[in-house]
Amino acid sequence: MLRFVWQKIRNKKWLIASLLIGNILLVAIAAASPMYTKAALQRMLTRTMSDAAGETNRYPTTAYIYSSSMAGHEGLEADVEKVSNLGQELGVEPMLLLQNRFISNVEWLPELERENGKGMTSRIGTLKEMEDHIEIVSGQMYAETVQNGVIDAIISEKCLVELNLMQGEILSSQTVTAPDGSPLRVRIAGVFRASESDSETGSQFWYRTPSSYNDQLFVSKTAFETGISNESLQEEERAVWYYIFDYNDLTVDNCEAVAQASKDLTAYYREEYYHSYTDYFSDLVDEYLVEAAKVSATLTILQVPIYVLLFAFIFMVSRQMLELEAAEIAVIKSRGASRKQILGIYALQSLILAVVSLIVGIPLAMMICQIIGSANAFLEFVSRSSLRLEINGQVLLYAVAAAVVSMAAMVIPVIKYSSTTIVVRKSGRARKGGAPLWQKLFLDVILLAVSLYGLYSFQGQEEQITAKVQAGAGLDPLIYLASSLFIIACGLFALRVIPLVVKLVYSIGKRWWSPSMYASFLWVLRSKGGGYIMTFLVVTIALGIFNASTARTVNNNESDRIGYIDGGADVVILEQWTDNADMVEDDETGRTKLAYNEPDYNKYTTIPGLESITKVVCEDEATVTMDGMRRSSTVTLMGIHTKEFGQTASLKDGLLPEHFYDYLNVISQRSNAILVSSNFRDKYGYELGQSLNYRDSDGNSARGVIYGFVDYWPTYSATTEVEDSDGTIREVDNLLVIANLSYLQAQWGVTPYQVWLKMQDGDTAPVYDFVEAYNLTLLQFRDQTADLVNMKNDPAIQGTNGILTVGFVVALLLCTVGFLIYWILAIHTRSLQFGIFRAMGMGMGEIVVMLFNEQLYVSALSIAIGIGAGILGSKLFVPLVQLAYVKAATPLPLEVSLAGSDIIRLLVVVLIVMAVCMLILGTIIRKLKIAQALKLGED
Amino acid sequence: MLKLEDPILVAEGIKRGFPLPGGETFFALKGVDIAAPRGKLTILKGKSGSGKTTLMNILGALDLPTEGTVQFDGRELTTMSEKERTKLRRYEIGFVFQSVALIPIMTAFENVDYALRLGGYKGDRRERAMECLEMVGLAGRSSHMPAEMSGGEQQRVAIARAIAHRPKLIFADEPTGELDTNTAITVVKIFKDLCASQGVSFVMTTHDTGFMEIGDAVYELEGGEVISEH
Repeated sequence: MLRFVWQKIRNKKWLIASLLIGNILLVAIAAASPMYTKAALQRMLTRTMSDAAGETNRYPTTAYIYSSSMAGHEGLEADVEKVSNLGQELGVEPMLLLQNRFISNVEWLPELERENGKGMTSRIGTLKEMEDHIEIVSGQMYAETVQNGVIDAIISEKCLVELNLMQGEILSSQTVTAPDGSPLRVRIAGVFRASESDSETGSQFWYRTPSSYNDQLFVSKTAFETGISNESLQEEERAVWYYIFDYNDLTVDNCEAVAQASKDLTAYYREEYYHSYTDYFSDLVDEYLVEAAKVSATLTILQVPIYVLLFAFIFMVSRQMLELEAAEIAVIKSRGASRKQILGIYALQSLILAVVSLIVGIPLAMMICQIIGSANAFLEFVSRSSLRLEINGQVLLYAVAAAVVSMAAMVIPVIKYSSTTIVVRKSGRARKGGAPLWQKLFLDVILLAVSLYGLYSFQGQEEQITAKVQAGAGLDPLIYLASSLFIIACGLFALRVIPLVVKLVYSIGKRWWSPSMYASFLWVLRSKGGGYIMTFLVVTIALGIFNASTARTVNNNESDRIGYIDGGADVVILEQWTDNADMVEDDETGRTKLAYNEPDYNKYTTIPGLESITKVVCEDEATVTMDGMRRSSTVTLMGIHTKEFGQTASLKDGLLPEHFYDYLNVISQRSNAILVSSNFRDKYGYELGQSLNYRDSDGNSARGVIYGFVDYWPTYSATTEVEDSDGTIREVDNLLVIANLSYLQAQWGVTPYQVWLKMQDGDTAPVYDFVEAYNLTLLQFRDQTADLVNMKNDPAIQGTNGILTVGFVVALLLCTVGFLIYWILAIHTRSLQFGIFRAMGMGMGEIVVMLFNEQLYVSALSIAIGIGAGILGSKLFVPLVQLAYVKAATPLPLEVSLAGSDIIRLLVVVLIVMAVCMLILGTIIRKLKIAQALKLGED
Repeated sequence: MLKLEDPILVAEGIKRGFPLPGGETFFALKGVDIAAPRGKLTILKGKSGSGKTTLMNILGALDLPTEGTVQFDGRELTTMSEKERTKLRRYEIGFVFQSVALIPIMTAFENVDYALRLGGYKGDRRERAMECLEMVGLAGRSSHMPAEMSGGEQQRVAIARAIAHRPKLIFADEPTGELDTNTAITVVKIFKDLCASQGVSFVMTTHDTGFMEIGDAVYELEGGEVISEH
């Protein structure tokens, strides 16, 4: 039987190859899905941790444990034991376990009296493995053992200064005793600092820096245990541990369990007052889990159309092949083959296909993952660090499931065919096929209606959907499903519409059509073969446009939001200012006025690559007094230099009724002119020309005349959502006053301002060098370029770009293969026809005209409908789909972006594919000998 | 000058070779001489593999011989361009093929009508097409699709299509091959009637010895050579 199947495969190599392509893609996509999702989530988890490390300056995967002998020394001893086995409880082994045992509040007197020597309090303790991580700055390392009743200690440089100690001096304790009951004596043997190799290797040993041990005398473990009396240790000993594990050991699989174990530990330690446990990662993991659920839901939903498309493709191709093989099946059947044997043949064939697709599909899946991982926008790629991909059980499960499903799609239709004998088939052929079942049932219209109903029911719920998304839920699958249904329905609907259009064109010119045109019209109208290729074309194009639009809208809205929030400036900096607040406080007469020391501003102008720069006073806690209302409201006050501000900041066109610059020009006319947010007019009835009293948080006040109202202004949000204590979300209006900076400074003197920078080509790297070179202390720092890069690396947005791209590429591949199959079958089944036409005296040119005209209706109309459906689908559904990506309530109005360049790029790709197909077919037709064709056509 | 009694088709020394995988050439026709009389039925007889279909394809300007000349109505076929031969087939030659060779997406009427369209028929196409279907006795089934007709009916439609644009010569390759005896006789009778009434010339191949007497000229082929002629 294997031989027979092999023979069969060789005979139908084109169709089998197409089936194989469909199968491989299905397996690859199915395997890539969990593989990519996991890799993306892993990247997200690792980034959550590394970001936290950057922000807090603290290694996040750390647990801090404290224990004391306050409830007896046994408790502490038990903890020592417990902590040494903590790895088993947490499920991750530490890369470092810092253990510091000590006695605190030890009172000392220097034995050698000196001028400024006085009593002091410190800790004495031992830090495990300290020897390997220090270098001695002066003096020497402590001795391991107690010598002549004196214990050696080393101290940090900071400790030396703060406790006012001298190297070499001996301290004796008033509170802690040696084993013989005499006061404990300690010699300051040396001063240490962190060894240089430690900072080079990035070791976390000095998680707490040496200078933070500013009151601890370190002694050896032996000295600590043998040099101090048992009573002292029993009563006073304390211990702290830093259990630090590599955050790369925190994986998608174990993070939840580790966080839970850590929370259990926190609860356990909380039960007794003498010890405690704190971790710095379980909150981060919780945050990550919420985000991860959202991301993986979104990524999964986005893949649904790809699966549907692939499955439909495999089903159609296998039907197509069976149609060709129906005669064969019937013959085998007539010769006495049982239904089981026939099924067996097809099962074996599909098994071979399934095995091959598993072998090829899984490596392909890894490639697809890398493609998804490097997508920067729709059909745009950048090189990124490659993903940590693994082939695990889940991946294999998905791949095998996909293979099994496609086997079913290939074998199940055989049941129908295997029950027909040649007699039934021959007589069946004479029957004239009517419209397909789905058309009679108006399935396309029903699908269209369902999708539009979905749209209708979701519209008007944008706010609830946004709130749900913000609360951590992913995109409602129904929204995306509705959009997919819409596209598929359009594809089916095209099958209904295209013949009508052709009929119309045909009947309009009926009298004048040349024989070849006439024949091609009849072909389009009467042959049933072209149906699926039209649907595929429509769906591919529409899906491509929809995907492009979704990706572009999500990307654009997010980058617009970032650009707006960052004020359109590349970098915003607020330096730490010094002031005379202490003097003001001390001065009881109240005569001293608050004054700031302005940091040097000119230094900013030396940043290389600087394009423009401006000072912006931005005060969130300013107030206005509403005239005649006797109450004040919090307002954001912005002080700007109109010209420089216009050059440095930017505002997206179309947000304001007039150009951004016009507003700047308006307030530059008069020093006390101000622009205010529109809610002053809408809520409080202010009008142009009215004046307003406002004051900053230092109490300086000024009066301005309203010269204009704005809905949008760089960095300004008209409303923000505030969560009340009972959990309800409430919208709060934000007020804004924009004044001339020179006026404010003339009235109030110099107050702290932000520096806004615009860099050439948005290259912000020089600013970092600048900040480092001047060693600036910054209160605020916003880098738009970095924010945009971060956004593109956001797993949800990044994965979306990738999956939408892959979805389109798959659709395109299927379309190409479908197109080729359609044509190869058409040539095969029509070669007789071409032979007849040629024998009847039709020239090659006329045949080409005929084919071209067919294409015009089959493909061109499909493409046109596809474009229409894609644009319409985008306009209708993208506003809902993009809600899943809204990070924060965006102050900007939504815009569905659809670049003409996207459509052109799509069309170019489709046209190239078609051209290649036509070229292949052209050669086939050209080689076709008439005499041969007439023979080939014999059924 | 051509005379009425001159044959419509004269083929001399026709050889047709097909390359074999070994680099040798297989000759399906090894030097055939044939003349088809005008307004008469010429029969090429032979078993399967005798080379009769190959010969007919060459005579009908569908294929070119490796050697030899073919004179159609006084014009040399073998030196014509592909375009000229296409034109010849379109206006002056008709075909009825061995297997049923109707255009499956067209009705019986449309099939016949299509030959008229191609032939640039100047008169009323509808009338002529119906007339031709009438001649083969199928006027009543003009709106049927090929798949809805029997083999014999389809063959008759093919004949109607072949004669519709009034070609000078019609080739019929085993037109009776798949038909039962009665239908076969009907078909051949139609040919004879058309020769008499319309003055069309026919060249047909057959392996059926029964039709030998009906032919005005009969050539018997075997192994790519004419072994007898009447």
